[in-house]
Amino acid sequence: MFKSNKKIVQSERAAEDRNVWEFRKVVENYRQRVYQTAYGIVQNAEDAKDITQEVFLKVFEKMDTFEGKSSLSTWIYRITVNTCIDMLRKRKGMSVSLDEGIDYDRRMEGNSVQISRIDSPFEAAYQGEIRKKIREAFLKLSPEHRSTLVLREIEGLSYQEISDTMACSLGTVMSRLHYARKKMQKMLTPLWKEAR
Amino acid sequence: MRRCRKTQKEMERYLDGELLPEKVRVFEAHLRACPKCRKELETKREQRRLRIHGLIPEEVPLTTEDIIAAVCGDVPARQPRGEVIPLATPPGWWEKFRSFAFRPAPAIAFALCIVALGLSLFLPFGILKNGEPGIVIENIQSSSSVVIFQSEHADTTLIWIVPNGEDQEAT
Repeated sequence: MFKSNKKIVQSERAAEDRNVWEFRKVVENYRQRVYQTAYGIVQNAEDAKDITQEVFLKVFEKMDTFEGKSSLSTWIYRITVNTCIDMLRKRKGMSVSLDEGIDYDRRMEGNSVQISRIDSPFEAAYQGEIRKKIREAFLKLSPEHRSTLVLREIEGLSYQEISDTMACSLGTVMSRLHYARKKMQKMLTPLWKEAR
Repeated sequence: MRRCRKTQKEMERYLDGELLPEKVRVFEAHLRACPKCRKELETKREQRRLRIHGLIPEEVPLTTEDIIAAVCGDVPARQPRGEVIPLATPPGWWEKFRSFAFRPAPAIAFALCIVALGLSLFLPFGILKNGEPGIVIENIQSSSSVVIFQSEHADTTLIWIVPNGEDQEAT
């Protein structure tokens, strides 16, 4: 009786160690992508940090129930996007601070990158005003539009992968992308003209 | 002109890499021939780069170890901010006594003490019962008899209350 109990404990411990080991590999592979996606959607470092931890906690808890119907990356992106959307919905109505962006811009100004003349639009992105305006325009989009744009443009997912991640049709993905880009283009038109 | 409109419409899909291969061939053939569309595509590409640059984080502040510790380790995933309240208050004197007294060894020792005390009280009476006669000093008659009884050799006095009707037997 005692021996069998000991065996059970040993096998449970081995399973636990194996889980942690597998989980470590998942974290190593997806840490950056999860944080980047979360930051891209919520545009706040602290929230992105909380979301990243929450996502990996969910991944760890549900790792045994993952059936492999979709790819692991799609599954993790789905958890990330859903966690971000939940957080944004909870905070609906609350004003979004752009201070973080301003801090970032100040840091950039403090660095050796002192641009007296805008040589190219890419360099212009370092200028605080431009970054701030891009963020302002982006934060006016709905959580779903933000998520679709981030998955496509920052994470480089295909339309099909976005469709699987967000559990919507290909048509919806294309429509959301078109709308998000059009709206941002409209808001940023004066900025593009300045940058030229 | 019509081809230009169509090309511009397909630009985002082309940049997304989602244009069908046969359409890509036509699209690129048009670009080679049309400087206006070529410039437009370059502008869109630049805008996209700016947009991405404006939205991505500077760095990832969480290491793998941070996440592992938060999820699997002793550190809770969401550590409460502010003062940490201990889960249990330190035990008081009663808890300490209870945890000590209700262990087997002290309980047996306590029981032995009670038995020894009882024996020390009733031992002289036991000697009397073994044939050594005592002397009745005083017999008070009432609803029940009170007998003050002292043994000859022992320095022990017993007060014995005997109900009526049992006098003879008690004497």
